[in-house]
Amino acid sequence: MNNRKLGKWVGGFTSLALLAGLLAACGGNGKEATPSASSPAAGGNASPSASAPADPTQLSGTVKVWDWDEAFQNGMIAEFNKKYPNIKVEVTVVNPNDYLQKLQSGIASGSDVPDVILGESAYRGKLFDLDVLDNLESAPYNFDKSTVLDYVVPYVSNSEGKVIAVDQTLTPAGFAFRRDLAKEYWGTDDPAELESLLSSWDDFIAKGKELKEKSGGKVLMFPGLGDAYIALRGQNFVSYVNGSDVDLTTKLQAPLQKLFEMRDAGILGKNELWTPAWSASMAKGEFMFYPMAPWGAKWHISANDPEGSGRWGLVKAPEGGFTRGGTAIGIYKDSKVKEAAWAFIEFAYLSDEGSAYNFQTFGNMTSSKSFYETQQALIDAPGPYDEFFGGQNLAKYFIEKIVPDMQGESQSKYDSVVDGVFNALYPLWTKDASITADAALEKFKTEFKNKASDATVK
Amino acid sequence: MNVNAESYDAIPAASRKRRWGPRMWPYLFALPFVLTYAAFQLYPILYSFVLSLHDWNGIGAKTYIGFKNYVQLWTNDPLFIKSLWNTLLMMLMFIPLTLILGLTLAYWTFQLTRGKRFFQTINVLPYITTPVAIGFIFSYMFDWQTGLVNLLLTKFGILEEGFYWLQDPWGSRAIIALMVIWRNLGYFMIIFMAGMTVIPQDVYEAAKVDGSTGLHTFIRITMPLLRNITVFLVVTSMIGGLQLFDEPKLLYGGWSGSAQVGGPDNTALTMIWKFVDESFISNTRFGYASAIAYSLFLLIVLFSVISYRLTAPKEDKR
Repeated sequence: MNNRKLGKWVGGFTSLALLAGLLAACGGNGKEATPSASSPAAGGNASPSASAPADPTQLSGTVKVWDWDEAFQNGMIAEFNKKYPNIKVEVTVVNPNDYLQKLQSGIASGSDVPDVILGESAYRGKLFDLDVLDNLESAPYNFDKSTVLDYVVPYVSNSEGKVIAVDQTLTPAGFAFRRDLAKEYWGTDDPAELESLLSSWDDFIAKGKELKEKSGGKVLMFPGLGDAYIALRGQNFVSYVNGSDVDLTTKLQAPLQKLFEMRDAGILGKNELWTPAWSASMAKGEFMFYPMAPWGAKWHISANDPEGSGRWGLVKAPEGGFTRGGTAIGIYKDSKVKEAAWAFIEFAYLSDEGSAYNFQTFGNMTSSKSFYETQQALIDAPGPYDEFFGGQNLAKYFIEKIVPDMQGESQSKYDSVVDGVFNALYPLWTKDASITADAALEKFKTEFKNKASDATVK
Repeated sequence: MNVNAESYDAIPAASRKRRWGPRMWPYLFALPFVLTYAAFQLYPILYSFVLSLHDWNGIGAKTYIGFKNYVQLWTNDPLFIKSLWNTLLMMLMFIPLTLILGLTLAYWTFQLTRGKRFFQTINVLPYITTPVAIGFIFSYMFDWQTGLVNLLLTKFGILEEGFYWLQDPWGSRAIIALMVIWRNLGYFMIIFMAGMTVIPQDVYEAAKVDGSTGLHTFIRITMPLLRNITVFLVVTSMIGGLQLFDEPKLLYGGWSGSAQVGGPDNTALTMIWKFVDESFISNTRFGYASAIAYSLFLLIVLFSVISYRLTAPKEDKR
């Protein structure tokens, strides 16, 4: 009984403390809002056609950004402030796994909402569907979508075809591969030679069997079904959602059939994506390939194989490129500092100077066409992770060998449901080899229907 | 007259003050709590009921749809029914076991003359470990490829190849039940021990004089006198069990973005997990999720009443 009373008191005091905190937070926002509110007027003088005003020092305000990559923001904001000294950019570090939830709670309760919103690929479609991002093609942004690579446009457009974001970095993906293993079992670690050895998925499976045989089963092609699926599904750029009609058969039948063919050939490991065992496998040399986009060199391969400098390489996937991950950057439609927020986005992700810094420091590749026309020297220069990949020029390879294959894929709120269903099911397919591709597709449809009851599934 | 009038006026004023005074103060003192309770508990509770009658994604316009969410939930959502079934199954696995083990452990520790404190502390440690750490520990232990359990089982030749614990329908539930038991055992033990401390020693002495020993004393004296404690533990663990979420969620990829919602084929999906999934992970249906929350609330009331009726002593049952 006493305990309960104590609990109530504690609860009461906690609530009071929270209330106080909330009020304090509101007060803080109020103060910040004063200078920012004046900024549209300040920016209003600028010419509307250009994406940034003529005199950057005239723009002022406080732009709030939620990002998970603090290092990026710290570096980029310093660069940005050299040109725009009067715009203050405030970063709140938010875990991508909680991002959408925090954003929704913030908007629903009318409390803290960032001006610059990031949409990671895992929830990008859902974010676009919430209708919280401003149309960037309209004023005051007047973004011209023909200035970015054509294939990127669907990734930053909502279902009505409006461009509501820019791409943080291009995310064309190929396979990171172990040079040491390729040399040992296939006699070459030259990406160009591997490309011709693995020009189709059938070649890939044949080579996988050979690898398994030669290594006595010690080395396989992929760590698990999840990795293979990323490539197979990613290569199928076809749009599968039309309103609430969801055509899973068109989207998944072929990828699943190929996936099960690989599983049955015994060339896939039994690891689940992102598990400790999966991460550890990179350093161990149990698997030849890991799907990798440009961000993967830093976050993925070198992070999990810190001693592995020089033993990795990059090769394109059989039958073409695919996208992996990728983050869309948009502006909250009720932001009070739209112009300042756009100035930051424009500088950091589209401008030649911001993109050059971004590329040299973080290896991020802008979607802006002009960068590739004017900054060829930068692309040709060694990047931060080229050494790790045996001296291969990663950016050049991505741009020249993989990007030309890329096609756009429209984003949908059902994307995250499809991903969720896949994540729930593939461990079972790994475990139970008697499940066929057709049975798996049917199961996929049922599960999808359970999670998206408003959709009509084909 | 004047004096009389003055005193006539003065008396009721004083008594009014006396009557008003003591009455007002308790309310005044209770006011901060009542206000915060109303703002942070009562209002959300009522508001989520209102929400459950709407279709709302948290940002756009709310559409009133009456009880449609509830109808959909109970008649046309196989995952919800499955999550209810899973939750009940897992409760059935861990509640009786925790009770029995907790009581045994408490009885054994209570009898100890040396090292009593040490054992108490050791057993309560899991209870104060954060659930995140427990999630990590268990998912590492039962990992298919690198887990300690499989490593031992294969090393000693009990299994040829590691068992896929986390992707087996019953394996997943059993591990979650094990996590709950491991975590709560110390707490149950402490509560039972507190109950044992209250039992007067003369009852035991009388029993001893009458020739009762060991197990007989335990069954006839200790257990009946711990009945109220047991009722408390059963009812609270029923409530806690229906709200099961931390353990399954953390076991299935609390560390990564590509977490598997619901475990293999949704066999570890609990009602709260379903609720979280509907509101934040797979969907953004706040109204529908509120309907889940309210249904869960009703279920908890129902189960609490049933478990109380079943376990409480006869004279207390009303």
